[in-house]
Amino acid sequence: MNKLLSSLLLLVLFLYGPIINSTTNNESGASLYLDHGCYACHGYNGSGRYPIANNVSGIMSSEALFTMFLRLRADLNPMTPTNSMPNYSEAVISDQQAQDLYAYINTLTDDPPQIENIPVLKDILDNATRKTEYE
Amino acid sequence: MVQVLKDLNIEFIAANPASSFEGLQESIVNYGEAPNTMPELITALHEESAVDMAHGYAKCEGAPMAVMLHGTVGLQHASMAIYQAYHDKTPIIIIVGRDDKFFRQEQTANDIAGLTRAFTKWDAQPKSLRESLAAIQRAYKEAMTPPMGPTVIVIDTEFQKEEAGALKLPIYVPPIFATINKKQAKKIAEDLLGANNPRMQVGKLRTPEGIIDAIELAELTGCSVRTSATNLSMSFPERHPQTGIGHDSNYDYVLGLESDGLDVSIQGPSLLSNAENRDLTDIGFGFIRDPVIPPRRDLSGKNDIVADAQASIPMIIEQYKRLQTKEALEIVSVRALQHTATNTKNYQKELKNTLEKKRKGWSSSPVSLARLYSELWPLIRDLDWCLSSPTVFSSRHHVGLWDHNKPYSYLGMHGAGGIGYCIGASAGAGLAAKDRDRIVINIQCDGDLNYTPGSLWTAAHHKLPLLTIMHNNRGYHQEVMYLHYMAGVRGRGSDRMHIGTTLREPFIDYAKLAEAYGVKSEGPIDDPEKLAAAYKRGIKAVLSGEPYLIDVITEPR
Repeated sequence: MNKLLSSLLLLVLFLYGPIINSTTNNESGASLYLDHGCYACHGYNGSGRYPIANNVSGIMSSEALFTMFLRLRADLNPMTPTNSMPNYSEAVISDQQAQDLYAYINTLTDDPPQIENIPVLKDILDNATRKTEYE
Repeated sequence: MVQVLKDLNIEFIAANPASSFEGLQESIVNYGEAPNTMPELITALHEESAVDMAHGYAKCEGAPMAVMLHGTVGLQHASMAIYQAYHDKTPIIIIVGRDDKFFRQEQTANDIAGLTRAFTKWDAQPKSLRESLAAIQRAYKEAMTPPMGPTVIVIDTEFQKEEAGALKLPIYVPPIFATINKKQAKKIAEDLLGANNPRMQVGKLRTPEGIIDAIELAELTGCSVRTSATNLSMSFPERHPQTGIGHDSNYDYVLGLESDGLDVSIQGPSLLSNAENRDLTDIGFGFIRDPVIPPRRDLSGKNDIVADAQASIPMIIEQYKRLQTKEALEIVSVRALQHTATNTKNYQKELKNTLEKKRKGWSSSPVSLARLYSELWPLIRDLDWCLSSPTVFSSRHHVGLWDHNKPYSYLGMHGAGGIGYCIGASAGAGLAAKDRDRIVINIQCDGDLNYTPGSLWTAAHHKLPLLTIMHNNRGYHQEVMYLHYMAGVRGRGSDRMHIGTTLREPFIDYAKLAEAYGVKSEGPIDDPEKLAAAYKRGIKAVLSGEPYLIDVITEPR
């Protein structure tokens, strides 16, 4: 019986291992995404002011490029306060954590309806008129 | 004193009660046929709020309301708001009570107005009741003379309590605005007539009447117009047919009206001109000190005319009409039609592009700021509305989406970027809107509200038509971003940047806060699908004359 259970467990791990591992990475990535302030510019769901969902960003084309981007961005002598992309050194986000973050960001999707299927936006478009005189 | 304020058409006077102006306050309430309603006494819960209200009101009306402040302490409470109004060139009449004999010595001073002299337009400390009346009139006149700004009159309690008896009111002499001269007006008219493709760039004029004149000049010349209506109040209507790039963007003559113009720029005097006489200790406030950001126009200054643009427009119109020929009329007519056609076409195209961007994160929770603005527009589009709050922190999604056609469509920024301004200024815009069938929209940042939430009570008490929609990102978000960058520079602790920058543990319940102040409210809403229904309830309440607050949990930017 124990052998059977062990075999079943191994089978489950074989079949779902990558997913379980991915989920773990995603959980870690999700936590890192919030803790290190990615949400601040990219939005809680990757669809913020500087969208990162749907793989729209070139820096997401590979894990290596993403990690390099995290490491190389800082202006070490900013003259004024800036909301530019911060630098994340290895001491702050390890390579493993960067991988988790990369994995999580890859899961972010934004699939809003088309304008025609958003009644408010369609209404705005259909009723758009320019004033002809100043009241 | 109350009669003088009435004669100056001062509708409201805001104050947090204090012993040093009890004489005047009693008169404001009981003068004439009691209760007196002009100026109506508006109860503010903080002196800063009182001045913010006057700031918001003046931006809507192009005219001041008054504020009463208590001696040294009240004026200091109000000082940041006064500083902002000064930067914003906004007229406000500030009456400071002074009790130098009987009350707490800490609350009086020889020269109370000196506390804010470097950032007020003018001040006086009259020596009699008669002088006090003249000083109020002069304060109004100075406040309304460019560069407009807050003025201060320090009035001793004894003059406030003195019986006026048969004292005659002084005759008010309105301000005379410095205009261009006739020769300059003629030259501008000639250049407008001679240009193949003239353009006007319109900044902030003084009053709605100035906008009407600017429209007349634009239509008379058939020029295209660049407006500042999405950045500040009292500018050219955004959806006027001639507003936009126009048929041809190769302009051969650009006239600036309180704005940079490539060929001629008519602009009123800068704050620097005032600081020379007022900043006696040479504090040297930035921006007032010297132009840090140089104007985009010809820096030689040879084309700049320091004059009031609004008062100068009729002179240009007069000269233009005098010089205009039948042939020119036909050219203008064709030009205006061409601009209208192109601007209309561009508008449709730009709107579609704008809406395309608004779709982003449409169904996300927390609510996207694009959706926060988009859902509101169809509901207020046919109403008379005013967007009272600065929108830079909520990503300015009204731009390109809403139509800014009124002098008060958007009231612009704080003046000096000081936080705590929004709810007070919005209450002031609410005072301007009250009895004018107008509603006020305040997209209220959460951090900002916590400075002066007492204005919510003022809105409830005075039944102001104010819809406040919280942009509740639960933090001082700009600082969140700055701090993350700083941690990145130093390579440490970017997971601790929420410390000191966010409003978590516990979250603040703004609906309950509003309720405590007597403002109907709902939220927090983090499901975007619930937004429209909440807006409808809010607008219904506001149209019935009650303020309403909707707490929306939003994306940071």
